[in-house]
This record gives sequence, C-alpha cells and structure tokens, in this order.
Amino acid sequence: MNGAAASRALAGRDSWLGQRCPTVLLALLVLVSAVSVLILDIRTLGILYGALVVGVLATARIGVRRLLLAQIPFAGFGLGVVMVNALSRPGTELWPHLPVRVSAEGIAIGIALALRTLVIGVGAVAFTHVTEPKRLMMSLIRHAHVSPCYAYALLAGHRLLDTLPAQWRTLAQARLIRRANAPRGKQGRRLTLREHASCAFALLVGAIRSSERIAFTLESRGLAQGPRTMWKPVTCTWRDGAMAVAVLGAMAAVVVLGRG
Amino acid sequence: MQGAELRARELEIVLPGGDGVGPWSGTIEPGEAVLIIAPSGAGKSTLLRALAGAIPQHVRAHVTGSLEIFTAGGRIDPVAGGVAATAGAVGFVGQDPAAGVAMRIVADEIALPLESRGVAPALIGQAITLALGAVGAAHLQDRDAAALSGGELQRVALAAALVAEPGVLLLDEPTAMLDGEGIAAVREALRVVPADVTTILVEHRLDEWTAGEGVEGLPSRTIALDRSGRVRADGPTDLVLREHGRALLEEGCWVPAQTELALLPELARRLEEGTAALDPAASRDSAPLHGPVGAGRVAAASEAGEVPRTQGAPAAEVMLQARAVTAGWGETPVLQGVDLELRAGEITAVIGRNGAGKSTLLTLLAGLLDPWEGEVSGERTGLAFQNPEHQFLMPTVIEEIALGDPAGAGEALERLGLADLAGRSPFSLSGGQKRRLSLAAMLAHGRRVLLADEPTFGLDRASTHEVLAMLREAADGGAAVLMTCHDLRTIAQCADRALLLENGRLHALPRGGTPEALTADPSIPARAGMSVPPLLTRILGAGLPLRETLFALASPGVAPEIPGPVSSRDGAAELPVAKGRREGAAR
Repeated sequence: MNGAAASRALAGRDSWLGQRCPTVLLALLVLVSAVSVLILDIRTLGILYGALVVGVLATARIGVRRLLLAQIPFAGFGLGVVMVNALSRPGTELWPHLPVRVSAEGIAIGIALALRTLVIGVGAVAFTHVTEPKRLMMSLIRHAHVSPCYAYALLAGHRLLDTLPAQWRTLAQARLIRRANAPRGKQGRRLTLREHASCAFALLVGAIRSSERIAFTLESRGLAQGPRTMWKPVTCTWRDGAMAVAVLGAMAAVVVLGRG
Repeated sequence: MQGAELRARELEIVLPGGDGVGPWSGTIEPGEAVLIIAPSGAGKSTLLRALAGAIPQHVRAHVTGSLEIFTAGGRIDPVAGGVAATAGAVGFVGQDPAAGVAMRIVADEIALPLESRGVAPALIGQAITLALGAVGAAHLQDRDAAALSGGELQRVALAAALVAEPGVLLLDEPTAMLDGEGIAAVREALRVVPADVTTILVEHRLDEWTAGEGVEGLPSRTIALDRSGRVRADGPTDLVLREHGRALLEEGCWVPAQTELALLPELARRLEEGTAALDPAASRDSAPLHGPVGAGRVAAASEAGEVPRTQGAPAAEVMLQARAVTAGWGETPVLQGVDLELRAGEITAVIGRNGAGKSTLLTLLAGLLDPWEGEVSGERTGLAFQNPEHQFLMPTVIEEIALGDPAGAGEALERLGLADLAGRSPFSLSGGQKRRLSLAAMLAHGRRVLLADEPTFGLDRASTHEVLAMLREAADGGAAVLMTCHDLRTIAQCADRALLLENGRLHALPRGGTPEALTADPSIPARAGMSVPPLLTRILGAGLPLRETLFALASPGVAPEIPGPVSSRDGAAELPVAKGRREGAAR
C-alpha cells in the first residue's frame, strides 16, 4: 500500500462509521443488499441510493471524488445491465426507426437493476473503506462465532495478497528477457496470452508454497480450536445499536416513500 | 518453560521422491545447543520440521521409528500429534522471513501465541513489548510487516517464537536469505534465548553466523549428516569438524574457516606467518594472481610476482554502456546519474544495502525499464533472477535449455551434471540445481552480457562454487558479467571489480574496486552493509592472492594436494558413525 492509499485507509478507519462494530456493519450491508434485491421500483431504489450516498459521505470520511471513482466499476456494470435489458426484453418499442429494438419495459427494468447494483456497490465501498481487516475478523470471532482458524487464515491470506503484484512484475520480466526479440518500449513489453498463462501458473505455484509455509507458521503459534483470549476485543456499544435502528428505520421509510 | 528433552529411536523419514533423513537414534538433553551440519538435500530441514510436528501433517513422508519430546508438562509425540501438539513446547524460526510472519501488524504476530495460550488480555500488551525489546525490535511493534527488511522480519519471528516460552527452539537456516546486516541482527537477537532452552540450529554460513568467533562461537554439539541423510557423526563440535571436516567439505558443506585451514596446513602456516606481520598498507600493494591453483601452487604463485588479474582490462571491448542514466518506478526515482561500462571477459560485482536499487539497475540494463534520462546502449543482455523459479518457462529441464539453444541442450545438461534430470520439472530440482539451470538457460540464449541477481544467495558451498565457475566460464568465453552480491568472500573468489550502489548512485571504488581493495579497507564494504570475513583479512595480510587462495580452499578438486587426514587429538573419543542404508522410495 502506498502512502496516499494508507492515509486514505486511515481516514476511513478513524471516521464515525469506522469506529462502529464491523459485525454490525456487515450485517447491515447484507440486509440492505438483500432488501434491494427484492425491489424493482426505480424511485424507491433511487431514494435508497441517494440516502446511502448522503449517509456514507456524512460518516465515512471518504470524499465525493473517491466515492465516485470507487463506483465506476459498479456504474459500468449497471450500464451493461441497462443495455442488455433494453435490447433484449420484449415490450413497447420506443424508437421504431432504429435498426435495433429498444423496449420501454427493458429500459425500466434495466435502470432498476443498475440502481440495485449501485446500492450494493456504495455499501460495499463504504464498508471496505472504513473496516480494518484485523478488526473485522476479531469482531466476527467474538460476535458471529466465526472460527479463529478461518479468521486468522483469511488475515494471513490478505497479507500474502500484498506480495503478489511485485511477484507478477518479476515473472513478467523473466518472460520478456527470454524472448527471441528484445522487449523495446511499452508495446514490446506486453505479454502474450501464453506468457500470461505461464506467469499465472508460476504465481499460483509460488502462492501455494507460501500459503503452506504460512499455514505452518500459524499453527506453530498455537492457532487451533479451543479456548483462547483476545488481546484487543472489538466491542458492540449502544452507538452500534443506534446505528442499526437508524439504518433500518431509514430503509423502511424509503420503501414506504417509494410506494407513496 | 524449562528446556525439553528430545529422544529419537531409529527415526527415519523418507520423502515421496526417495530423499530423506535418518536413521537417527539419540538424545538431546534439556538446555543443550546442537548444530546440524549437512550438504543441501540431506534432510536437515526435514528433521527440524519433524521435530516441529509438521511431518507427516504438512509434508507428506513415511516416518518410521520414534520421536518424543519430554517437557515439564509431559510427553509429546510430534509425528502423531502434529504441530498442534508441539506448538506449546516448540518454537520455530525458518528460512523465509516473509513466511515466518503471518500477521500484517507486528504486535498482532506476537500476540497470537499468547492469545492461543489463553494469556489474560491485560498482560499481553506488556509481554509484546518485552518480547520485541529483548530481540531489539521494540521500535517495530506497530509497523506493517510488508515494510520490514528480512532481518527485521526474522527478529519478529524469533520474538513470536520466544514469547510463548518454548522448551525447544528450532532454527532452520534463519539467516539464509539475509544480507550481512540481517545476519548480525538475528545473531544479536539470539543472545536473549534463555540458557535452559534446548536449541537446534541448522545453518550453512557458519563464519557469518559466528562473526569470526570460529568454532567457539558455534553450539557445543554437532550432528553431521552425509548426503544421503544418514548420521555421519554426533559429538562435540570441534571434534566433529576436526574428524569429518574434509568429508563435509567434499560433500559441499560450508565449515568454519579454521576447519578449512586445518585441511591446508601449508596455507595455514603461511597465513599464520603473514598475519603476524600484517601490514594493511603493504597488503594493498600485493598483486593478485591468475588461474586456479592448489595450496602449494598458491604459495608458489604468490612468490612469482605480479600477474594481471583482470582479463577485462580497459582495452577489452565494451559490451554495455550506461551514460548519465536516471530511472525509477512510477514517480519514484531509484537510480540517478548512473554511468557504467561492462567489458568483455570481466566480472563486475555491484554491492549495496537492501533497497539501494541493485535489482532496478539490473532491470534497467536488461532493457526492461526505460531510463528517464540518459541512455543505455550495447549488446542485448541475459538476466538471471534471484529466485530461479521465476524464470522457468518450460515443463522439463531439457526444454528449459532448448528454448535458447535447441541444438546444444543435451550437451549443456551433460556439462551441468543434470542429464539424468532432463525430463524432470524444473520446479522439482534442488535449490542449487535450480540456480545452475536458470543460469544455463539464460546462457543458452547466447547473449554476450549476463546479469545475475544474487546468484549464490542461500546456496551451499558446492552449489556456490558451481555457480561461480559458470560465471567465470562465461566471462572467460568473452561475455561481460555483472552480478549483485552481499558476500565479500564470493566477490573475492569470482569478481574482478566491485561498484558501490548507494542512495541510487553508482560509485566507482578506490583502486579499481578490486576485492583486495574492499578487504583492505573495511569502511568500503561497510557502506554496503557488508563486513570483511576475517579469513580474507588473514589471506591479504599474509600477502597471498585472494582469488587463488579462496579457490584452493574451495575446491574439493585440490584434495590430492592436501596432506592426509587430520588425526584426532590425544584421547579424543572415536565418533559414532551411523550404519544402515535407506531403501529409497520403495519405503
């Protein structure tokens, strides 16, 4: 993680939302996502999305620009969903003079599905922005009774992930240097499909070996099923309860408002 | 916890490929410190992993005989119980610093064994501070493990092992992947291990480990294994090294310099005489010699007068040139104003601290990174990466060579001694074989400039010398070779000159940067985080040529010139030598 990314992460974790119990946050994220899946009304989903954006901006110290940038993948996916539905779903044809058929029903459902994607997306972005992985796992062990073996293995895997980009770069260089033609310029350094596959295989071999060694390290630290203590337990406070009530209340209000 | 006792009865571990270790019967008493010395592939790490409970739980193997650990809390069977059974009694520090620390934040790593043992949360914070402080790593408590050096990671791993108060501490080449400063950091950290903890150490580079203390700086007891994993000897360290030093050397083990010298009494005598009259100023003027010689020939050559060392003399053809190059990654400059010429027939070593930019320099010279300013021109280069596995592209050993030289692959494998392994996967080779294959595969492309990133890192003595011989052969064949290296002995044995990379700038060194110059002025290698091995100082002080003397010490091929076996001291006990043969993969 570079300096700018680290400072952004710290800002999120020090925010009001970042101080909340990660288990409660995760449960609310799942609940909001589940409810949004049941809704196909554009207005309701639009209000829900707007409320979530306002809530995240107010509590997560993320900034408008970063929140927008983080939603680009979700927006791109949403756009694809709109197009697929508009072009493939039967219904009232909007523009008969076009060479392709675009249905009004398809656009409506497509927009609803896209908004659903954005609702889930903004929640996921906020959650990853404010949640520190170790704190999440400690919280899940304590409040959701997740096995410490799984939780610590996930944390170790998260640390392993950090090393993969540098390994990929080295693997790519090793393939370029053995080409018959010198890899001149950025174009010349693009990997072929076969080279990509070779890199991926070598990366996989390395990752498996590393994970075996890390698994041994974890176990040699005494990680196993059984009674254990927790140095820095993550507690749930009345603020977490208040947040849950507020979110659930707001969601109910939005649903009612959307129908009205 | 008090020290634990280890007992083995006819313990034999056979890996699926047929390699293995044992049979071993013996007892290690509580508080005893034991060194295990053996060539690569003899099963040292396998034995330690078995003691830690990882075999057969984590590493598939066939185990016969018995292995027991006796602690104050009772008896542990590591083979049956696995790592979970030994975790409370056994601490383990392995070779790979990155794999030895599993948590992102250092304090969390130290807290993990305490939490697992049910220590009250209120006591854990203080215990973390004490454990890290004891190994000189208190300042790392809140640091991200991804930002730590190898030496720092190993200190954290040691603190995590010791905080659980183990009865047995297993150290599996903890300095194998570290530079000089990292080795010193781990060595200092280990001074805090309580005397009643039973310690078993596997280590290659014994001189670096003891920092010049010689045999006295090693654990008092040594178990020596032969290449097949059988126990060659088990006894007091000085006695084992004296009685079996020659055999260990010939099998490719690193042994302390004083053991090496004991096998070359003529050389030792000359060093003794020379050291008595050591005059660094005079030694700086001593001329290096050329060509491989044995112990006797070293002396004769030294007396013969000056012979130019560097084949790549200034008149040699310039194969690669960098002019005023500035380069970096992203927006971060790593190299600034780099000027460099690589000449045919010359081996150049680049030294520098971790993070100085050595790998970036190689990447730049290899044409894999564009300079921001300046120019790199010349022949196309080959680049051998630090981790050989990163550059294996083909499914078999022979195809790996054939990629660069389809016609000569078979012959190349014959010369490498890998012909029997032609159909094997490159990933299945031993560490030394992988390194030789990666170099040979790169050389097979016929490039006239070879770049090698730490080509001897973590290798045993035999593999080190084989790799150095390959580099020398390439240079003698007209290639320009540039290697990065953290070991002055390796540089002295192989390189013609050294350059210092410091804060992104490449510096020429006084007196052409010859190994003699680096040895005579320890302040130069110190700028690269390196120390001068006492052996080199002694050789130079005696007026002997560094490279040829080291060659004489290094090559098992000079054995015929060395006087007969060293006899035991009066009254020295005959060492037990294990009998029995492994039946191989069939078991």
